[in-house]
Amino acid sequence: MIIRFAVKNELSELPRLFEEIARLGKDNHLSDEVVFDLNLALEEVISNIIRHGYDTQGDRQIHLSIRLEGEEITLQVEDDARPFNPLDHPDPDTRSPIDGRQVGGLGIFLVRQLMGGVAYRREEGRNVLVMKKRIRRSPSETSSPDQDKGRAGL
Amino acid sequence: MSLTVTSQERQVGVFTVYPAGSLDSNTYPILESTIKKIRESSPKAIVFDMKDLTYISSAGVRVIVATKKAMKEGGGSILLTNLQPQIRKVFDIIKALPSLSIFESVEELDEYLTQMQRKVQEQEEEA
Repeated sequence: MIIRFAVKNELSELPRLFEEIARLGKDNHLSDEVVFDLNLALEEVISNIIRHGYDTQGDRQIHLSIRLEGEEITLQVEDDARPFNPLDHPDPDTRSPIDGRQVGGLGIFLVRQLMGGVAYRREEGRNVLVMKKRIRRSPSETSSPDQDKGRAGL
Repeated sequence: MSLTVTSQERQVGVFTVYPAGSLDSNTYPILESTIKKIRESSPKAIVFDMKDLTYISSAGVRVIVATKKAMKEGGGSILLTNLQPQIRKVFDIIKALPSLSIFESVEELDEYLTQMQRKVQEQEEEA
């Protein structure tokens, strides 16, 4: 199944995002831990886009899709901000004590640790970030039919 | 997901802060302003009791780390307690655990503070 929705480039959209993920988690019997990880990964990516992406003012849309197929979840985040590859930024040095470190890369570092695979591409004027994660599901959950739910956000 | 923050002075110079709910990119300023107010009274220690904290992102971690740095500079410290598993996981991932003082329970924390107090008193008596 796939759900698609869009959020505005505003941090105040985060609660609505969390609600969507909670609903997805409930409908698909995802564990609390997985729901937490998805929320965190999406928040870090989206807040990054909002902080670094846009040169001009005004409402922009960030497009999200979440695909759940068998034991794999794929998150895709697309925005039309300036070219920005969050993966270019170096990981924080986890060997040094935390208060001495640069905190800039902390969010993306978390994303990479929580999600099994993260990839970036620039496509037709958009940044596209794809994150995959393998999750454990009970046999009864994986046997549900593949549904394609398209839902446009506000 | 919202955040409420309460705090109390448990002992003289030791403040406990209770962030409840979600500490994220949206809500971290609430914690920041509570810390700012507390620091006006030059505390010896700030305790973060996370028993009701269900979510934390890097924005929240940054507030805690910044508080640690500021307190350290003033000769004080921060301590964390009652981390829910998913919160502990975040600190674990960024390998912040070794340099943060984390306590499993408030009892353990109180014992630690009492010992600290005793050490200070012993040093004062020797002087």
